[in-house]
Amino acid sequence: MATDVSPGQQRALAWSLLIAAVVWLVPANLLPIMAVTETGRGKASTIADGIWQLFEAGMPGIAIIVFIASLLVPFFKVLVLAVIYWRVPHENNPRISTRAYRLVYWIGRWSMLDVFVVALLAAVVEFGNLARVEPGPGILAFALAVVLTMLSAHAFSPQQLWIQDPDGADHGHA
Amino acid sequence: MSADALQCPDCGTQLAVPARRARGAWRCPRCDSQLSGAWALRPDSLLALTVATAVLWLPALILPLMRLENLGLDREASLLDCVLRLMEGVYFPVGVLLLFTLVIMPLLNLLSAGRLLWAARDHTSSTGQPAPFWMKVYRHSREWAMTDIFLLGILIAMTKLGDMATVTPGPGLFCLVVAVLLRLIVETLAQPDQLQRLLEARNGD
Repeated sequence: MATDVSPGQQRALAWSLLIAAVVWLVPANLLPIMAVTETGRGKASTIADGIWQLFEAGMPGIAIIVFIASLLVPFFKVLVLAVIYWRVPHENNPRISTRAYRLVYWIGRWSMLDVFVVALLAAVVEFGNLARVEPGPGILAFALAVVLTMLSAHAFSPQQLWIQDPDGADHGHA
Repeated sequence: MSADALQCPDCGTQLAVPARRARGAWRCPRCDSQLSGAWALRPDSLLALTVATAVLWLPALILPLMRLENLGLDREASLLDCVLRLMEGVYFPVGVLLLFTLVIMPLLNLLSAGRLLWAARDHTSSTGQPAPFWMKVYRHSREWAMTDIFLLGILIAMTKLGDMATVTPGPGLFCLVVAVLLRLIVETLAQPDQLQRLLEARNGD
């Protein structure tokens, strides 16, 4: 897509967006994503708490979906992208890397699931003092992490994996 | 570029377009990127599906998705309510993100798909060039329109609320489910690269 920038610049941008995403993943998982207030008493819960609550409530299927979408996918995607970016200068199996890139490119958007669940709960559970759901600071960090990872994958183009010169020497660096 | 040659978008290989269409999807021999869908692209029927999605879209946005009853109190929320709820207060950026992924991008997806499919019909007198701008919008909106994920979010929210209150699905949910299914059909059948080639071929005539 971005053909006017050099591969090196493109990769630097992809790396920096990825690192920013990793930084935001930390508060995203440590801070509460929402707070449930029932009859005056509040209870804040993080992403992991939410998954555990679903397990305890006897809904393992839903718990596994949420676990995959909001815990596994963000970390897995960051890791896979980092390995792909790392391997670019001496890529010896571009076909596998391109496949992995395509896979994480499309599963990354499913991490937005938790943000949508919080928005729905906050909008519908609004019974004044009896019960209400408030979004927590973690949701902001989490949304940022997901968007930054998506932008990082966007900044990279898989064509880079294929522009190998025969001697396998440097490309991208002048 | 001529109509019978193209460059693979993923690995940049120059490829010759097969003269006769074989059954099944067509993939790049070098990087295995899917270059054309398994089905022929029929702009007329896809345009009809896009119009149907557009009709369902407004009620899906403003009608209540679900109704919650608890201790004699009840409350409903629509998709727009969810977006507005987060746009108030300190979580404004998240609200803007929701507005972008659930309202603006799906709308742009409908507009761009409609515009491109209209240009790809065989019996329109092609007035303009197959606007590259709309193609770009279409490609981006396929990724950033997230109503399908929102649907799964509704399912999870409803199960979570199930044990603390009575939850009834609302008319908005029905419209949203159908709209998302129709959009999924259009997106699967109208692959951007395939649509692009169809438009180029039409313009070349």
